[in-house]
Amino acid sequence: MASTPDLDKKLKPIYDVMEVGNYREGIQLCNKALKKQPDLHIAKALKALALERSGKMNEALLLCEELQWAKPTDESTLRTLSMVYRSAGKYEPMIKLYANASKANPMNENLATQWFMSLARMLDFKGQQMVALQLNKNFKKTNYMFWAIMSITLQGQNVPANQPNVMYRLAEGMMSKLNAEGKVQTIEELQLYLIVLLGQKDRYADALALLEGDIGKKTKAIENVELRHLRIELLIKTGRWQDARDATKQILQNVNSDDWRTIIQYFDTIFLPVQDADLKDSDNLAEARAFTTEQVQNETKNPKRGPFLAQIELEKRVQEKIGDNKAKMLDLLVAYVDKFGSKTCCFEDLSGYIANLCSEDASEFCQRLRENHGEKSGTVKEICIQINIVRFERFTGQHSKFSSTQSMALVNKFWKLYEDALPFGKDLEQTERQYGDDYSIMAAHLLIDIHKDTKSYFPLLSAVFILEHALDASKHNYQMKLVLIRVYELLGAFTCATGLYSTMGIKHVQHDTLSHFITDRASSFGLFDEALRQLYSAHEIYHSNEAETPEMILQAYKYSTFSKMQEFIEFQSRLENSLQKMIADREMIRLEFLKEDSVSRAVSWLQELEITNLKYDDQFAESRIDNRDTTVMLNWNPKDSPSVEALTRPASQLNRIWMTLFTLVPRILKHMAHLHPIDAEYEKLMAALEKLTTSDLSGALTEEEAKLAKILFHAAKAFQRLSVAIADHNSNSASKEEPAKTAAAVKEQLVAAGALLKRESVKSTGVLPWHTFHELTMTVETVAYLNVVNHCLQNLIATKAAKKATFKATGSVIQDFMAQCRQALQSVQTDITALRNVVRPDRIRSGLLYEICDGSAVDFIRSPSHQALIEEKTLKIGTSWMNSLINLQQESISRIV
Amino acid sequence: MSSLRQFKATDLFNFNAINLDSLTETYNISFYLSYLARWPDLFSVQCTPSETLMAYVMGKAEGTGLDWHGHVTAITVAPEYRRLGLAEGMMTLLEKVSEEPYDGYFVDLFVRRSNKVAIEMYKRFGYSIYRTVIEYYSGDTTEDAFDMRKPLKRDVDRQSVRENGETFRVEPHEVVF
Repeated sequence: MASTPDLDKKLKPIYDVMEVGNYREGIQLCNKALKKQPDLHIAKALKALALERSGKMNEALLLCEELQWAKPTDESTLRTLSMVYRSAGKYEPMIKLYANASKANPMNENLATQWFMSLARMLDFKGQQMVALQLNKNFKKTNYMFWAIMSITLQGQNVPANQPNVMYRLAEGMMSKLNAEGKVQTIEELQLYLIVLLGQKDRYADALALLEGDIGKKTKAIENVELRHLRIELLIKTGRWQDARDATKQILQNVNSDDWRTIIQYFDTIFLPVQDADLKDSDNLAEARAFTTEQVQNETKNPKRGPFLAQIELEKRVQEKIGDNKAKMLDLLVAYVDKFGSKTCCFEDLSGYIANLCSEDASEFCQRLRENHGEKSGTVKEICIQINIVRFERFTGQHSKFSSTQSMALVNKFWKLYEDALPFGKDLEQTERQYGDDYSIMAAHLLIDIHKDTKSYFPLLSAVFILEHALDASKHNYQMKLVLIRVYELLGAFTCATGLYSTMGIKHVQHDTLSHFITDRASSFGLFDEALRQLYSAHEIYHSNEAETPEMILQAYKYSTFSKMQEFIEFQSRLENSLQKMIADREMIRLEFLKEDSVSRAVSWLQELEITNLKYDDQFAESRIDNRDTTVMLNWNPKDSPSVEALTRPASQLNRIWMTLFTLVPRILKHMAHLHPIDAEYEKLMAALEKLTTSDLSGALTEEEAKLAKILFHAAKAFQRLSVAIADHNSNSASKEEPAKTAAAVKEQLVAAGALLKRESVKSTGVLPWHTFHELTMTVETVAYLNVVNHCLQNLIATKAAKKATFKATGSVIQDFMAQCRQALQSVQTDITALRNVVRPDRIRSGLLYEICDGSAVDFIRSPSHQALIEEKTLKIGTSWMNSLINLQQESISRIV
Repeated sequence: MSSLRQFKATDLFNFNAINLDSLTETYNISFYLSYLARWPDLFSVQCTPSETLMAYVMGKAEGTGLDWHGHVTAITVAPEYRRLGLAEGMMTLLEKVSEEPYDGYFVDLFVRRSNKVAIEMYKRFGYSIYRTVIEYYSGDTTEDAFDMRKPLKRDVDRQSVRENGETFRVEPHEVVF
């Protein structure tokens, strides 16, 4: 059905209405066209597209399937179908469709290219290879040969480096033939050749020959930053020390004196050829000292840091290899601060070296900084130097020795310094940070230390007030926001945390790396809808990855950008197999389940739950990739102490054990909901759960989560016992159990579960920390699961037992357990009622607020000018607590069966 | 001290210190990857020895005839690493690549008319205003852009720059290549 003027005329009105988004009319017009000509493929495809665009995906896919049977071959129909399938995330069908069309029209280049692309979307490297070779055969374009070589290389990329790699050898053969014919011409083609060579063992010399040979010269490979770097790497690997050294020096002298990876390569050419024992009197060392000194001398106007750090790096290596170099190291480190101490990054530049010093040297370093710079804060530059000194002092452990009282004195000092720095920044743009901002952050870090020491929540409240106040003068300081989010979470104030998070403009790929700040154990705040909202919005990135990244891989083929292919595929895989994605998936299932507040709805929800992707096996768990960014948060804690990020987690970081638990829970419950007989699958799930409950979970799960695992294990054992007993009775099996024995066995399990369900009532100390909500929420959640279990136990007797009367005793055991579940919910309600009283605004004013201000050791809090802010923020925290309590109360009431 | 290298797709997992800054917009996957797929050598990053990303620049090559040039789409430096000359290093590299292999006549970039700090910085790097693009930036407040250019070797007669470029006013649709 090739395009004809007649057909174009027929289709134009359809395209016109679709273009302006009028899909309803589009569907009508397609129907009309199909009535006249039922086999008009393009009309059917356009109808499918219009259906998809109007949100009727299922109908659209049905039409697509019909068309698939008809094996359409015209490009516009295929293109339209491809659009529908792509938005459904289905790539497989297009392979067959294009294969078909291309085989029917072997000389249509576009169809064959599309066939290749449809395979590339699915990362079907072998299929790609075949089609690319065919493309080359039919259309004689070298480019298709490179597609084939790339496809072959990708098939070989997972072969370990020490094993013979058939694929790479094949790719190399094809490449060298093309090269001999002079057909390797662009830098990207050269890069592909290099990938093929360097993917094999010991091919450095060959790769180097290529880079330095004709093709390298022709493509001016040495001008390319990456290939220039690679060449030096290869010179080093092949022991051409002098060439390597000349090349690095040329770059450092003439191109970029600051380029750290070249500096490191320069040192490789110095240190690698010399035995440590011979180093001291070697020419190499003398040369390196002369060269680095010369480089430093060349930095006159606007000096770059690289050459100065190169000197430090050199002397550090000398200290490691020869020793007796400490004094020189210290001199250089101190001189570096004298020169670059006003740069924020000075701390980061040196922290690696300072971490290497012994504690006496580290103290001497800090002492000398103090001697040189005192406490001078009269200019912006001096303020910045002071902040760096303070960072070094914290990093070298000076704060760790302090008592709470001393730490508090330092908080007050930092606050004063922060305030003193403000006037210097009065002309800064709104988007910029105040010069003293890090004082306020460090004050918060100290307050977090005090909280950890004393377990009191008042230091955390002080941190909130200080940071909120500082944020007013530095509206976009995301470092303050990150600390605040975590502190609010520790304080149980989830809506305060989400409020801030929403101002940070976190989008797209950041959803994968940063959403853990807001979604980790977000279900524990009793605000299920809010937690779900956060999870769903973060989850968009994974859909984008499915929809967008394959298209980008195709772009890389289109532009022959072979150097990026493996990178793009790795990027796609890191999102697809992201640990955070899997955690979010599990958390969403938990919360979706909790949305069903009646038992019967919860049961049918479980029956419908799709579990094919709910994996928990070791291989699955271990192949998750952790993309979570935990290093973006500022940290000046000593290198052996936990980071601020780690210290401010409400509970241990979510991990694979957590994932296993929350995969087993819905899977076991789903089995029960179907009243399926006990089978190997159920036993496997139970074995996994048992393994979990018997291992040490202290670092992986909270006490409450570990309890949930145990409770569910007992409850599921009870289900197993009853299910087997009923089956035996129904079949009158010889091994059938006395009904009383069944009742006793079920009772034993349920009593054990019931005992674990009991808990002490929550005591309020004025603050409702994260743990309070976690405890209450987990009780509600556990009972929600147990309600399902009880329902299923009763249903087993009611619908599966041939004689219900046989299991009467078990029935009353279940009744008793249900009463215990009700009690558990009632105790939650009693606690909530008491807590709601404490967090009423009037109570907060007369209670918590009074306690915060009464005799506080924090100067900030004592200052009259901060009272309004303190009250406002405290009440806001109170409102968040109240929201959590009200929601949790409703959740628990609705679950009383 | 920083390593200046090409941007990798997987750097997107580590660019938060830069992109959490309010002036740096985070775009969808396709935006970054389509640049990488087409102009991998015009997308560079500066990182610390521990591979923390400090700054990046993304650019493209576009135009026809005498308008063939390198364009700076975005350049950004994380707050902690400003005033270290990182932007200059990245611009120099982008200009070099625009000359070789792209062989362009000039490099250009758009900047908000109000962003005096940036305009001064680009002037120091050798850029001059070529024209004013009227209300180029939309959003809460619309604002004019300056199209700033720096001629490359190939532009022997310096045809891509002019005096008083500010006074040449064009509409946004006129600056699409």
